[in-house]
Amino acid sequence: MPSGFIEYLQTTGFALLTWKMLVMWAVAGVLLWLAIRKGFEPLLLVPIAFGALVANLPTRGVLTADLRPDGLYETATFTVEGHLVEAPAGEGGDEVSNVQRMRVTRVEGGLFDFISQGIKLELFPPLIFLGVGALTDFGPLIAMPRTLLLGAAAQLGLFITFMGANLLGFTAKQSASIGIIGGADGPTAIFLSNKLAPELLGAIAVAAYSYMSLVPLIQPPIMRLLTTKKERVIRMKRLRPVSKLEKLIFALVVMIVCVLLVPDASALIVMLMLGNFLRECAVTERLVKASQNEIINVLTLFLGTSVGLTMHGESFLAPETIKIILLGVVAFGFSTAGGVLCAKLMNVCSPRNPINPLIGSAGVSAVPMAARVSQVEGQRYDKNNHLLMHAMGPNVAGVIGTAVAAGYFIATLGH
Amino acid sequence: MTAIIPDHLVLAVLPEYPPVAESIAYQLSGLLVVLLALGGIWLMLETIGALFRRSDGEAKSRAAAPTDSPSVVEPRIEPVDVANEPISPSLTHALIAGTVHAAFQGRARIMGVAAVPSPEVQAIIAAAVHSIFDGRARIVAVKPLNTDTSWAREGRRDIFVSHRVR
Repeated sequence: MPSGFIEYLQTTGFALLTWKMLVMWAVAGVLLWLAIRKGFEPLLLVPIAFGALVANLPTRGVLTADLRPDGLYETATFTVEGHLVEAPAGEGGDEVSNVQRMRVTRVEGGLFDFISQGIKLELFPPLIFLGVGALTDFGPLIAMPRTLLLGAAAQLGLFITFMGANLLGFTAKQSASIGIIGGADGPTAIFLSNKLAPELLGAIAVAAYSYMSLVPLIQPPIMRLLTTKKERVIRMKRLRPVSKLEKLIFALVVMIVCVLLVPDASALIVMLMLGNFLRECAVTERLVKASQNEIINVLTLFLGTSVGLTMHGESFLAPETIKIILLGVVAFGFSTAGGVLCAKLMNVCSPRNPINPLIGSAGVSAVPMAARVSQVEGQRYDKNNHLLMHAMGPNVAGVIGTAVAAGYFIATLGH
Repeated sequence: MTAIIPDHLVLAVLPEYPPVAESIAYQLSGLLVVLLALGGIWLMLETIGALFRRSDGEAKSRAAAPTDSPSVVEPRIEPVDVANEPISPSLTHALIAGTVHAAFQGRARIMGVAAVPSPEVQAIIAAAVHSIFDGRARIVAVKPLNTDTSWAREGRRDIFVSHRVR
């Protein structure tokens, strides 16, 4: 009886626990605390933290994690068993001589080995962009299109962080993936990291989403540092109403221009604008509702959990993770500064129709959190100054800008 | 459709650890690409916006131009000066009922309005008046009716006048 009991205990998960797993339990606990108690991006941090906890449990049938010879963990692999099939007579020929057929008899893998293919095959981020497009009103941007420049300038942090990461020992591909944190756009960060540096996916996703939730803490000091009190109370002209036709044309124009300029960002841009076109055409209500709710919710759940499952203690508890977390702040800071400084520069060029520089910080995506920060900061100095709708322009421009920047990185480093 | 990008179209190819100068040039070209993309969209949107504003202006001027056949006269909307006019009890009652219905999605029922309206009721009246008169009215005073029966009478009168009585 005792020997049988001991043999049984050896089959349980206790024997497989390591100290790194226990540390990761604490990390997952902190993330859950931040999400639930502090309300930091709970829709994403809760699935990520839960996935991180599961990744560090000796589970069976959930996720396959293999240690590669280079010391990195490879997750979400599954086994396909089968046997080769002889090509039927008469179907041969030179053209198909290199093709072999296989009859699959068994596919073996855990639940998330299959669900995580949504990240590996780059399906989730573009599909989430479909929902983002269906949720976004580009009206403020169309009414004041010059704020597109703020969205472009707020990508400054991406490129500066690229160099910083490179100097800290990361490769060019890894540096680009870390730099994209400054874009404050989770799906784009995951999309790019999966393409260029999948080994850093977990740390980059956690840093991106954590900092997005910390926008109200990170941005205001930088905004105050770079603006005068006189600039902060600038009142902007009321936005003109935008017609439905203009919004429809906008979706098509943005898609065509971006795909022509950066074909590697096509998947993101096309889905973003498809979602927006569905919304604005006003004849596909069911599709819009599905995109805004069911599709984006299901994918967010799967995306967050799949990302969390990449946070295996053996790979996550490394000095690189600390560096990524630090570089993420740098990226955010420079992106915020880029937007604010660009607004000041635009005021020098166009003093008759000034822009309140506080809306420049909204050029980092983080929709609509960054725009809300501009509104709150503006009202701190003038209670009747409402900057929210003006800030939504650079805010949604930032989404496009980050996708374009990601396309540039993929075009130059991913081939 | 998958686009096959020729090698000569790749903007830059970096080594894994590029020298600082090369890295800066790479960053600048990246920022330039983003600026070009968003700047290009800006210019297109300005052009499209200008066309729309122009067509809107023409439509407005056509509508404002005098016509030869004055058979159909558009009613001219004048600002309503209700600052010094007492709002009828039926209107006040309807405003409160409508606002409460909208706020509680039909799940609330008004049992009565206190003789001296509470701050909440005053806020409801103010919001409703602002919404209906589009900010052109100012509430000077809210006067409660003398008796409860007046509310009932007003309600009956409202119902009565809203139907054609044979």
